[in-house]
Amino acid sequence: MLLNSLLLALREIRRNLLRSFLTILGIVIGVSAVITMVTLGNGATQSVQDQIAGLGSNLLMVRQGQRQGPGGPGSPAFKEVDAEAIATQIGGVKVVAPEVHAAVTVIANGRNWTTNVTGSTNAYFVTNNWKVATGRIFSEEELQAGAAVCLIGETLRRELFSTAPALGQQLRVKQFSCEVIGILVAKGQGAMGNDQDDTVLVPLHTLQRRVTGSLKVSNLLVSMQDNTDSEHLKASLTQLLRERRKLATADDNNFNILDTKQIADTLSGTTKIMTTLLGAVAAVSLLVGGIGIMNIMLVSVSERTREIGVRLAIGALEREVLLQFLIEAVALAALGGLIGVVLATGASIVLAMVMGVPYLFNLAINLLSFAFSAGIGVVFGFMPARRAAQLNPIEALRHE
Amino acid sequence: MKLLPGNICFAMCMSSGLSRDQRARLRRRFLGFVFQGYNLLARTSALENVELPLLYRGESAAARREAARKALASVGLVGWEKHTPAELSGGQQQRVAIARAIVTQPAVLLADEPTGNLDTQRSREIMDLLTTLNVERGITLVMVTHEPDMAAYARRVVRFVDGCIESDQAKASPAPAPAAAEVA
Repeated sequence: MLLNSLLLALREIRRNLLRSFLTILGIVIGVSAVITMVTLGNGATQSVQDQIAGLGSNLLMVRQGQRQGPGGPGSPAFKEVDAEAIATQIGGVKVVAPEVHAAVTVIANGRNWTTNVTGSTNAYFVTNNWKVATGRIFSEEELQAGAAVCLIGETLRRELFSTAPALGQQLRVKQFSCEVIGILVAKGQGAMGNDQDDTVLVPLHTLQRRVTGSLKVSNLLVSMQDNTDSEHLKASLTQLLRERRKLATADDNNFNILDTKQIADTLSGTTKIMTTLLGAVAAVSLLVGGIGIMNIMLVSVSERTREIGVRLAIGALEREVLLQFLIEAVALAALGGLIGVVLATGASIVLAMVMGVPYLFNLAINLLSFAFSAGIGVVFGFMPARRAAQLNPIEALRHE
Repeated sequence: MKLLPGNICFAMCMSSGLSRDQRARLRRRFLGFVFQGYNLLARTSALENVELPLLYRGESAAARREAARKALASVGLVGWEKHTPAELSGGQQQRVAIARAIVTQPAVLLADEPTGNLDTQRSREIMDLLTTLNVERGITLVMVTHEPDMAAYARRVVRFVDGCIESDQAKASPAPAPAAAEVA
């Protein structure tokens, strides 16, 4: 009976092809809008999270000064020993990288380029998620001696060396030359829209002695072990630094701790809210599509009154007529849903490409939208179907 | 004269005590209908039209097809199975309607002016077909007609004038023939 009703319904849909198509257009647009919005939203969330992950996972950034910004006057800089103290005295810390930055113009291969030089230790590769594409990281001797060696980012390699081999070449940084011992794997755009690959990495001592000329360290990057309670760790970190910086109980902290996970949560939370909002707006169009189906089903019932009369006269039960029209409505809606899913997949792939976010196929939202469209068929098909089933067969047969 | 609600006793059931679904089951099981306007489903093939009552009886597709073919053959429409009502003449459409009515092997066939839309020649053919069904299959035929020529086929004629029974004559006929109600 169910299969028969389905076949009957499909035949009826085929019979009025144009009308059926226009009827389900609302559902098609609704479903594809919901899926596309959610898929693109998820893609955007993913891309934000990827960018944050590029900063380093489970990372605490300790900076001087009270606010999150350039170090305020009077707040003492960190020292390399601070990093060692944190690494040895606080549990749950994986590595600590001291970091010093300098903006310099570098020259190599007859070209020059203004870039950012970072002086740090090998811990920096862990804290900031840097991987070496070719070459090697610093050796212990190079780090201790402040040797003239460096690793360069992909952007810098492209700008200075383009197709020429970069490894083993000399790079001039301010007054000294250093040997390129490694190329970093490209990370792409950072969370703040900066180019992370436009960078030079040298040993901390090298930068301190040859460029900045002091033992100061601007930031400490603390990488936590997995599953570490970051609040607890932050508390002990704060306490340790207060002691080391000899702050009295009444004094404010003259440093601040930035948790990348917090930034990630905030940013991805924002895009998630946007996704939900857009999805909800699109869902309204699904509802409108459902009303379109009800409208056409009502027209169809009054158009086919005589047919219903014949069916009742030859012994169709009320519920069989009800089922027939209900299934017709559900088949229409589900067909719309199916077309919507296909359309959304195409639209999502193209739009994701245009917007530069990754395309993530989300099975749940596809299934949900499809099921929801079929559900709309049930809800909005029921009233017309019941009207058909409750027709008086004699009057229905007389209907012109 | 106003039509008053009444009660029909059929197959040991009183119609007034039955629900809509019970009446539908009764129609499905015992009755076949033939209408003046054929009432075939438009844009649906003759075969599918005849299959319709069997669909509601829940019979398998193969059984439906087989029974429908036989019913169409018995009304002389072999080779017309795939045609839709629009492609059939009035007489052929009425034959399809009769095939649809008898495909369930009903006890009683109710015919509401089955020849009302047909010319004399076609009318005779339809009446001969109905008579054959009565004789060969023992299907009781109750027919409403305005035409005395068609009423003449019947064994028993009940004449209504303005809703009142005027006469009720049983004819002694050599061959058994259907009952008919003639409305003057």
